[in-house]
Parts: sequence; C-alpha cells; structure tokens
Amino acid sequence: MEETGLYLHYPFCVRKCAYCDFLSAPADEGTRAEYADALKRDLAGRAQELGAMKVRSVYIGGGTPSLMEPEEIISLMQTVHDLAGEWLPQAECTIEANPGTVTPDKAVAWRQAGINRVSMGMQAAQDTLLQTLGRIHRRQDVIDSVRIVRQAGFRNLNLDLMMGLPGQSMEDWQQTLELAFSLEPEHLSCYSLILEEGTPLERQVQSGRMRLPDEELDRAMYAETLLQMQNHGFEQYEISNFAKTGYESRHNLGYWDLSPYLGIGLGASSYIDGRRLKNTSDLNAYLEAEDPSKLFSVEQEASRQNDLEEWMFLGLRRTQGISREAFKAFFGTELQEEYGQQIRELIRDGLLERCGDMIRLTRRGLDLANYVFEAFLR
Amino acid sequence: MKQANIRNFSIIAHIDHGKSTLADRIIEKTGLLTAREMQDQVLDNMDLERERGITIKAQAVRLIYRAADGQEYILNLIDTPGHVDFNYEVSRSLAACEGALLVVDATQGIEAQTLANCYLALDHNLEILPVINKIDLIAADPDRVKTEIEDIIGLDTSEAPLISAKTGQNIDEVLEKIVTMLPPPEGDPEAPLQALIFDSLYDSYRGVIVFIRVKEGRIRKGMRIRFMAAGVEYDVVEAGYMGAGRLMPSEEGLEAGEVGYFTASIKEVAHTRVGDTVTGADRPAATALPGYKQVQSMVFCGMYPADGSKYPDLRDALDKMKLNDASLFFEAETSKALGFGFRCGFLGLLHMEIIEERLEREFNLDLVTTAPGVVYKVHKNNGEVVMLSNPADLPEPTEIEYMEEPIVKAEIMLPTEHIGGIMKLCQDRRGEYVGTEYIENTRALLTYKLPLNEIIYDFFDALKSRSRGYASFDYDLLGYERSTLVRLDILINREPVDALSFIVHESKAYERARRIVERLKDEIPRHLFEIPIQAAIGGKVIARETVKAMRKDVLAKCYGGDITRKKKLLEKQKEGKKRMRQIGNVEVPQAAFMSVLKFDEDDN
Repeated sequence: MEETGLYLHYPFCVRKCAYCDFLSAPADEGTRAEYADALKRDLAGRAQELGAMKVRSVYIGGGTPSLMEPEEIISLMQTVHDLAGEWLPQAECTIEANPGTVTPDKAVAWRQAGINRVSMGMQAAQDTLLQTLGRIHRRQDVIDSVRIVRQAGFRNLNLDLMMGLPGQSMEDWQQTLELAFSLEPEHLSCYSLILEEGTPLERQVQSGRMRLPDEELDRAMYAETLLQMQNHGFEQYEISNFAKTGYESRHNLGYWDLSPYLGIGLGASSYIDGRRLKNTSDLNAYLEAEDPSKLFSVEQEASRQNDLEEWMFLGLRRTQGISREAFKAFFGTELQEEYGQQIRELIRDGLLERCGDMIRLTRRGLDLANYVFEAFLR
Repeated sequence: MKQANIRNFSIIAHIDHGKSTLADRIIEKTGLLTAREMQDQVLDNMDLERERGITIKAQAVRLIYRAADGQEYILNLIDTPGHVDFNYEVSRSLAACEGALLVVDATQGIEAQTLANCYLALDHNLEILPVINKIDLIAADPDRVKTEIEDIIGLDTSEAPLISAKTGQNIDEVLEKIVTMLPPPEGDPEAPLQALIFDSLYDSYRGVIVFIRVKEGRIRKGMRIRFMAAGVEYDVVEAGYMGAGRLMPSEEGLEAGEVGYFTASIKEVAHTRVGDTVTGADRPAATALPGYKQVQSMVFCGMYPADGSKYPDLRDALDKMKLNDASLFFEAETSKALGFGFRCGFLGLLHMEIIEERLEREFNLDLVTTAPGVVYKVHKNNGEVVMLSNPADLPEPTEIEYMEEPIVKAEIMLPTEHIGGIMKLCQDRRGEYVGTEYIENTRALLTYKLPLNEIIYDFFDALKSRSRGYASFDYDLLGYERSTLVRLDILINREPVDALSFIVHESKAYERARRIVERLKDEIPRHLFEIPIQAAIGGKVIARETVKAMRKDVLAKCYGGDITRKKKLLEKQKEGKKRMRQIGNVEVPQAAFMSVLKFDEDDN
C-alpha cells in the first residue's frame, strides 16, 4: 500500500473557543475514558488496512488531545504501533496541544509514546485577544508550555497564530509574531480568521458587538507575516504555513498532495483509493459501537473529475505550485489540455505564474486564492 | 325567486377593519343552498365530478337566509378588492349592488379608505348600513365612532349594529338589517337583456366564467349574447349561481335583479372586460349600462427571468396570469443588461407586487424587476406626443419640446400630531398642498396633489412610519401636468446599464443619483479591478462611487477534514457568480437591479 497518513481525532476540550466549529466539546472524565477505549476498537476494526500501511505520519488532532491522560496516549500509540504494517523511518508524529493543559508528565509520556512533534495553539500574544477568542490560556501559559515540551526533548515544535481578529491591531500582530519567534519554533502556522457560521464569534460580529479588521488591514497583516518570516529564516510552503528548512509538516503536506490518509475517531475524515469518507459525528453511537470503524459514510466517490479539481485547488495551496510533469504522470493528459484556458486567464490577471515546470500562485494570488481555485471547479 | 326577496350587497371597509371576518361570519350563519338545491346537489354527482379541480374564488357568493318574517331571502354578497389600485373594479362591484355594509373599526374610527369606499358607494346611490365592528376590544369606543360617521359622512347610525365579527356577537342583527334596511333590486325581466360584468375567471375546462349582475331582462342557456363594448358575440353554454363554493347551473337562467355567472366557451379573457354590458344579440338593449371604461396601466416595470433560459416560462406564466387578469399588460422587450424580458403594466404598485409574487410563487420563477415607473407624455418638437413607459425609449433631448407627468389627488387621514411630519413628506415628494379638514380635535384629512412617480416607490411605507402606522391614504388620478423631467443613466465600469435608467424630476436627480450609486457600491462585489459606478444625465456625470478592487478571497485553512466542505463552499461561490449578470466585464448580482427600488428607505 501507499505511504499513508494516520489521523486520530480527540473531540474533547476544556471549553469551546468562540470561533471554533470543529467537532469538539467539553466532556466528563468518564466519557473521555470511554472514548479512549472506543478509539482503540476503531483502530482494531481497521487492523487490515493498518497492517498493509506504510505510515508516513500520525497526527493526533482535536479538540484538545493534550487533555488525554498520559497512560491513555501511551496505550493509544501502542495500539497504533502494534497494528501498523510498516513505520517509515522519517515518520512524523504530531500531537496538538493547548497551552494551559500541558504538564511535564504528559510531555514525557508523549515522548515515550513515540510522538516527535508538538503543535501548540498559541494564537495571540495579548491576553485580551485570547479572551475575545474564548481561549482558556494566557500569554504566560504559552511561554511555560513551550518550555515544558522543550525540556521533555521535543525538537519539532509548531505554533498556531491567528490574525485578522476583532480588535486586533497591526501592532498586536507584530507583537504576536515577535513572541512566537522568541520561542524559537521550527514551524509556524498563521491563519487569517475564518468566521464560521453559527459560532459565538460570528454572532457577535453579525450583531455589531465586534468588528473585524477590514480586508486592507487583514492583508497588511499577512504581508507583514511574509516579511517577518523571511527575516527570521522561515520558508513559506503553503498559504498559511512556514517552516525552517526540513521542518515542513509531512502530515499536512499529504493533504495537499492527495496522499491517502486514514481518519480514526469521531467525525474523522479519510481519503483512501480516491474516495472521501467521514466517520459518524454521533458520540453516543461511536462510544456504544462494538466496532466503531464501521460507522462511516462516503462523502465523495472516486472520480477523475474530483481528482482533477482537488489536484488543482489543493496543490496550488502549496507555494511551490503544481508540477506539470507530475500532473501528466497522474492523469495521463497535459495540464494545458485540461485547464489551458483557465491558466492563461489567471496568468493574464496576475494571479498565477509559471516557474519552470511549475504553475504557482503569485503574491497576489495568495490573497485571492479562492478566486483562482474556483476557476478549476466545474 | 321574487325580486322582493333578493338583496345584493357589498362589504366596504378600511383595510383591517374586519371585512373578511364579517363576510366569513355571514356565510357561516346562512345556508348556501335552498332546500331544493340541497337535494339537487346530492343527486348531481356528475356535476361534482366535472367540477373537480376547480376552486371558485368567492367573487360573489349566494346565501340563503330565513329572516324573522319567516321568509327565505337570497343574499348575494359581492366581493370588492380592497385597495386603491383596484378602484375601478371596486366601483363595478358596487354598481352590481343596491346596498353596502360599511364596516368601521370601533377602536380606529373612520380612515382614508373608509371615506373613499363610502363615497364610491354613495356615487352609485347605494343604501349604506354602517356596522361598528370590534366592540369586544377594550379600546372600543362605538359612540365616538358613531358620532364620527354621522359628522363626517352624514350617515344615520341609529340602526348601526354593534358587532364583533371575531366573536360572532350580533351577526344575526346584521343579517336582519340587510333584509330590512337594504332595498331589493328592480328591473324588468321582460326587457332586453342588460347585465353588468363585475368579474371574470378563466377556467381551462369551460373557458371564461363571467360574473354578472342582471339589471334588465334575462339570460339563459342557449341564448346568443353580445358584449357591447368588446363588440363580440357568443352562445351561452351555462348560466347559474355561485353557491357552496362552486357553480350551480340553473335551467331558468338569471333574470333582472339576480347575480350569477354564465359561460359561453370564451377563450379570450379580453372579451369579458369588467364594466362591460352583456345584452341579447337578437333583441339588444338600446344603450349599455353607464360607467364602463377601459382600464389603463398606471405603473410599468421591466420583468426579466433571473435565468435567461427561463424566458419562455415567463412568457407562458404571463399568458396564464393574463387569462384571469385583463388589467395586466405586457409586451416583449430586450435589455442589453438583462436580456429578453417583458415590459409590464399594472393598475398600481400593489397590483405589481401581487403579480410579481404570484409569478415567483405559483410559477416558480426567479425574477429581476426594474424600477417601476409611470407613463409620461413626451411632446416632441414635431408635434408628436409619445406615451412613454420605458425610460430607454426616451427620445433625444433635442427632439423633446416638453414632458408631462401624471398627477394624483391624495387624501391622507391622520392624527393631528403627525400633520407636520406628513406635510414635510408630501413637500419632499413635490406635493402641492390643497387643504386640511379637521375631524374632531385629534384627526384631520390632508389633501395634496402629488406626482404619481413620487408615490409609487415607497410613499405608503414612509407614510406609515412617520405616523407610527396611524395615517391612511387613498388617491385618484387627476391628469397630466407639465414637468421638468430628466433621465438618470447609470454606468457601471463606464458601461451604461439600460435596465437601471429611470426618469426623475430634475430637482430630485442629484440626490437619487447619489443614493443609487452608494447602494450599487454595496451590492456589487469587489472584482480584481476597481469599478467606477456613475450616475449621469445626458452624458454628464453627477454622482460617482468606486467599488475597490478585491483584496482578500482566501480560506486560510484546508486540511483533511475540510476538503469536501471547502470544495462545496467554493462551488457555491462559483455558482453565485454564475447567477450574476455580466455587464461588460463586471458581474452584477440580481439584487443590484432591485436596489434602485428601495432608495428612499432610509429617508424615514
């Protein structure tokens, strides 16, 4: 089987953030323990697929996986190791952690469990902004949590940052970047806020109680980000992702490269043999099922059209762009044949550019990526 | 039945004073069938079968009432449309009656439409029975309302029933008074036929069903009849009554004094105009009944299918609507911006809204409507006079000697405390003050001459909001007056958009221009490039806004769990753009065309 990424979902958190529309909610200890067991049954149900798998990455996402008890994590990863067929030498194994939930015991346990990367939700350097977002942590917790994971021996750390927040000034953003750089991570993800429907933050913005920065300020923040990243030796490799050389997230690259991935856990998505699957989002059903791995539905069947569209709109998220050679190898036709006109127009509009074998977003294309992606949808 | 036992009446009222509730109560309290008809209906299954699928609107309903005197009476309740747009239809319905119930809300008293409808009824020499409704409400003050009716209209209210249509209180008294107070019809059954058309309805099985009041003579199956104004003849296939929510054919037909219907395999609804007189082809009446006039469209707008490929559907839908609504006018037109569509004419703005809503709801059409306008008279240098209903057809300024616009007389009934605000509103709309009449200390009737094009947009809403809902309003067309009018053209990215042009008084042009470009700026999404939006008169730009170039259109995150969802989002966004109209290289959403309709809303 192909090199595959493995995603494990942990749908619990201390408190739901104001902007969050993920499958995540607070839960009592008993439920969380039950869930840890169900995850293992889910993995067992996938034993055959896992056995045939070459694991290139594992990603424990959430929710707040750093809420898991040390034994739970060790036991979970043990199950993964027991079932996985082959474990690639460079395999990246990430856990998402939130400042305020990280303890030295846990960090040590993660190391024991074979986890080699921590992705920390820092978001902002200002306590007021963290409060606006409904985060449970404060600025100081970020500093403390980073120290803890470093002391436990983690050599690959990502910090998630958010820009375009209600009430956030350019200065706030610069200070956030500054604090992030001072913590010397290997990887940074900088997201411009997406106001998701139905979230408390969206309601506050809709009702006028909060105001988002205008497009101009949001883009100025993004421009500042690109500049600062360069100054601090980070290379941009995706619209919102930056890394020191060699520290690009292998797991996330897989999503944009159309590599297969297997999602374990409540509501987790999989992409296997060109099909997109999604596990049930019904927590009780998942907990009660003898074999929760059977509780999934097909979101999208495999088709050449889907592959074409996704190849374009996911591939172009990467700043290196898409390779015409690779396209031809995958689809058997020239990129020009499939999308010649769209590409010509987008180059004319200054949103795409050619660079040797590659077609990629221009600087302006990074700001208007959706406009570009739409062109490749039917 | 003897004429002495027939009563033909309408119910007139200001909107929301309880007209339909009272009608419902009256129908409930009476029988729909006589004893003999009851038997017929049970036996006549064939008929039932034949009529399945047809629902007859209650244009008129025939009720059987056994009065206190022990006799059975036929009460024909003739419905009247309740809005100024349909004044002519109301007047024809009233002309079919001998009497009218004037329903007045005991908490509100007389309102503008109470007066307008009442005067209309008096014009037709109807006997008017005032009915005070809503006496169950705490705020009811029947004595005050009675005094008002006596003082303002001069009607005797000593016999006025005090009722609650809602609770059913004193409905019997209303029925009894209908018999004792309203006069029976007159007319000679042996005279040549004269029947007034007060409504018609298209039925695909029978053709047009014509609703009539027989004034003289009789009409029956097999008879050859002539529509006097339309000048066409038909053979009557069926004549009868409207009862029990369906048609009840009668072998004897209808005779002088009666209200009913007939059919004659008529396919052309245009032949059965409301107000026309039906007479016998073999023994015609010497004259037609008075009061016929051909309805004229007062308000015009362009209607386009949002999806250009639905043009044939829109045409079919308009054809079908026209079958039941002779006052609807339409003809094909083409717009550079909107493609193929129709210029449609209506009796008024409400009529337009009703048609628009029905097209969207009943025919499942998504429409783009251009700003409604009125008909202007354009006097050209060469002496020619053009009736202009589409701004795009305005001749070159050099060819125009002068223009005229329609003027109405508006009567506004309102609490005195709001006089100042409403007078300001009327002045803003270029109104010419005619007079104020005080009714008691607290209310007044304000009369203004107003240009029709100032009231067709949102005058009614503005009136309501400036009087906290208390002002009521009625208008009548006075005629045309000379006016300084200009055509405002809108340019998007320097391209004129014909569908956005409209005609406006010179003094209003600047302000409207500014508002409209502001609104368009908000409606038109940002593009890759900057888009100037300009308003111009004859090539001279008088207002400008700019839609800034798009700065951000990107989703920051797209990981494994997001892919299908984000793809759907992109597809939706793309789909939205497909539904937009392409003007030059600018994509304009449908809503932008509608936004010009609303440009006064923050006036209030």
